[in-house]
Amino acid sequence: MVGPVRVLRTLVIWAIVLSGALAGCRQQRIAEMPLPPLDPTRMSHAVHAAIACDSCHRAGKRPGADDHAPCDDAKCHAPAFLGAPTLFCQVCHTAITTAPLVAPLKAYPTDDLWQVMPPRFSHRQHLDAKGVESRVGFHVSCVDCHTRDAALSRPSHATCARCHAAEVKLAGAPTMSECARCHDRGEHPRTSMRIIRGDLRAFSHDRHRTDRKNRAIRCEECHPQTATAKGYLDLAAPRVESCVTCHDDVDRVPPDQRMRVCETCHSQVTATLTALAPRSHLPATERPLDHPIAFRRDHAEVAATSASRCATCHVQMSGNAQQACDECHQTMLPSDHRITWRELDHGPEAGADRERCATCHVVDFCTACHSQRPRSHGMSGTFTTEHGQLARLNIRPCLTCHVADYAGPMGLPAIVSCADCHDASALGIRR
Amino acid sequence: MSRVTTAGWLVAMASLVSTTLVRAEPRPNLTLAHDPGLHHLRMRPRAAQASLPASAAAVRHSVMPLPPPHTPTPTSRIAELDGIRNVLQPVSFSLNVGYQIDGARPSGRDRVDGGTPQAGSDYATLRSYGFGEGYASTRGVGLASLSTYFSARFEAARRIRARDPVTDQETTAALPPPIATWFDRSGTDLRTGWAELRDFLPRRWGLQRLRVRAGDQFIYGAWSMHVLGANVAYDGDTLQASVFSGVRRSDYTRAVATAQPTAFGGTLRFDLRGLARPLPIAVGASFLRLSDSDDTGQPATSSTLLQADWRPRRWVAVIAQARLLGSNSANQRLEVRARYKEVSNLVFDITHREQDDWRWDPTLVVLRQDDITEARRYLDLGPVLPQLIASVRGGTLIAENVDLYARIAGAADLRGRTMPASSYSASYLELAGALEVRLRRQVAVGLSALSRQTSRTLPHSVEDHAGVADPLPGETAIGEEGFTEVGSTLRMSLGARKFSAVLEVYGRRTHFGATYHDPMALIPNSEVRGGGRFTVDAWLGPRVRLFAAYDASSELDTAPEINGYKSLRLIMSGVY
Repeated sequence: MVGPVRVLRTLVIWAIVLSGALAGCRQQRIAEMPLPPLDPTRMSHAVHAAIACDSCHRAGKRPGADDHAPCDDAKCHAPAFLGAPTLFCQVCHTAITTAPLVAPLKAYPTDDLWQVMPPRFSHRQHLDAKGVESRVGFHVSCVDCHTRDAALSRPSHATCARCHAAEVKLAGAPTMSECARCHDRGEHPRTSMRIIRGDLRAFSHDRHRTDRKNRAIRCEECHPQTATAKGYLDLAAPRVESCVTCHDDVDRVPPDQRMRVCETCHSQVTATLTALAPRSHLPATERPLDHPIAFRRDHAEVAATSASRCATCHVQMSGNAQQACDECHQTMLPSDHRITWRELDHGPEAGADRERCATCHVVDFCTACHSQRPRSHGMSGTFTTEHGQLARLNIRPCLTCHVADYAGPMGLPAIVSCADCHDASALGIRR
Repeated sequence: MSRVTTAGWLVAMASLVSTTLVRAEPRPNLTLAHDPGLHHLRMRPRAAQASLPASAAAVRHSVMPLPPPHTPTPTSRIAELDGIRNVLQPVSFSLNVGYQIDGARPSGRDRVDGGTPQAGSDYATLRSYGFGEGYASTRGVGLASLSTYFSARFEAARRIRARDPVTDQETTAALPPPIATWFDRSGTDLRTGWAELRDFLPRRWGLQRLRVRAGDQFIYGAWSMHVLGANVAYDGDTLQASVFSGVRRSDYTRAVATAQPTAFGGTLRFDLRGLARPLPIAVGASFLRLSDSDDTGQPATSSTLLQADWRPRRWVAVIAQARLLGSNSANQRLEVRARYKEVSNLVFDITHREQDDWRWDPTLVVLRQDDITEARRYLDLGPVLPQLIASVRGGTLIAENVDLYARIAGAADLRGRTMPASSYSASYLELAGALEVRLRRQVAVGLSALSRQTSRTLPHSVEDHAGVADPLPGETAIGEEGFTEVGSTLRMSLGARKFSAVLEVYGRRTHFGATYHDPMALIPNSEVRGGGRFTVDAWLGPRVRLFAAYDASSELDTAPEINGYKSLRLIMSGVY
């Protein structure tokens, strides 16, 4: 028997192990950062909704590019520009001092996390080779739009104008002056951004254009969802798993920039040997992030929707999307099917939850084993009379095969009726 | 192969050939019906861009410097990074070849009931066998619309014969193996083998959504049914329908007769999420009819499964099912699943079984009263009694490192006073939990616990008299009262496709009801045992895998005549 001292000692050891592990987990740096609130001093498009877009966005220029025009129009805010500075000035300026006159401008809101008048842009539509190529004369690729000042960036209106300028006369496509055909009202977060808290080094797209051996890194390796995104809600920030794909591949990344070198991405210097990387930072060949322990039992829905994903690792699978459960369920053993499972453990499980067994096993399978003589019975015939000690400890296994109250003729092969010797009927044993 | 099986194959192949002969429209269908590769997103040298219309080119745009010459990443490397293989390639196959040794060496001690078993004449101390598994699948080979899948298993095992202890000659009787196995002879089983055609009909009326699968296959509807036959299915956005027919196939064994009932059934499902104004509900019904079988002694059965699937949120599902056997309500099930951020899962399910439910599955619905071998032939788990089984389970990943899982389950015996008792339908409560923590990048430890306490009614224990055949205890008293199991794992992984090793140890204490009492001696009412498993999984490159597992149990209180069970399993796999 296990003594209380041993149990206590085991618990203490486990407590130490777990606290050590949890202490290691404090190095977590990934978090879904809450978005900052929308700047209330920004110009409200909703308030100006009655004014035509080109009244302010004149000739493709940003409002404010020409001093205070067009806001200082006599019909609009001219009095505010003639009086003493007020809160109105904070729409564009961080602060106003009159002597000397200093009025630094706020950054133009192109990189805010909140985007006003967001465009209804469909990457899926613009990357449709058939639809776009036949109309604009060339095949659109990512860099055709995502280039600004010789660097990869978000497209500007000038980029759109290359195809959507009125002179191009692209049939059915909105022209640059038809603002409402591209822009929604209101505002939304630019993307569902996943921000690494605090110490992430700045990411350079240009440094990620080729790998160690000068092979191009394709955009979709990090942005796999973009090609099918119908709108901004479908866009997702790159997942760290896509970083791991390259940064744990010695062919693509130098050793000093591997995933295990935290400083590759994080500015905070850590003791590399003791740093505990989150599971998402492990190589792509490791168990996926969405395969926690609970996944072992409840994976049916995920497997039904992405069978081809399952098949990349579970090589016995065909990758066929329909009716493929058997390809694993006929071959993989549950973790509790250990060496004692067949001889000792499976009976109580079948009694408690037979439907779980029947997920994989038909009755023929049970019959195949249960028609064999068990090892415990031996061959010398002594078990016929010498089984009382075992039976009185737990008679359940006996009654799995042996009929309790059968009162038929003797001499039938192999099957023994307990009632031949024992009084079963008095106590209501079923057969 | 029996005549019925041969006929089934012929029917399956005939249906497949007939569908291929359907004349499609002469106009080529260029619709990409399979998952496309995202080739159109490759970075393209700007110099390759076609000239813009003059007016558009006049618009100012920045110039991107030319990227370095594009050297495609080798395909094999991509395949490795994507997992182990690209399932879109035309041909995939894998082959496992293994060897296993099971053993239960004699300890020299007597059995519980006295007497020392003689190794070799009472049971085999060792049993070794070879085995293999092969899988092959194709896509678009021969016909663009054709995909196939084959899965087979073989065993190379020698039937162990008992030896006559007097003459030391081999007899015709089969000697019990050290650990029970479901096969005792060599042979090959085709586990699954089917061919499927899809996207082979014209687009008119949505006919391209029709697919035909013929061969040895599993069909999922009212039950997961293994049949040799054909399945015709329509996979529309709103309507999914299928109809199938074939001969039921038996799994895992060549020991029982191959004559099997004929299966016929179908499924009809309306997914209202496919409507122009989607509703998050899908409703469906599945039907399965099995013919009677003289071989199994089972009558013809009809099973119907009705299902409603409501998804108020993307990762929340409420699924209700009701099963009928014939026209009688047999089983109802409600399941609520919720998932949060990929790693947190919560599932609640409750199942109500009625007296008219299957005894095991649709192939076993009645007990043959005239068959004394019934219990062994069909593993009788007693009469079907009203029962309520429920469980709540959930798990999450804390800080991407601490993997937690907990489960509470229970069953309630709802039988009436006039119904017979069954120890298999007893009420129980089960608590389970598991935890895995990574201590280092490559090292993780795990802890698991499982406890189940079963309600046993013990009116009075039977007094045990030596040398007398005592009465048997009552049905509700027999069986385990409960068990508690604690396990721990230590896992080292240098990459699941490179090298990993797992050490697992566990202990289990089972408590039995005091069904007998002996005035002269104490009858133990519990059993403590343990065991361990050590596995090594090593990959020699991306295509060859070596696997070894050593599994051992401790000595057993109920079998002191052996030193526990031991097993060594070696497997080599090749993947293409």
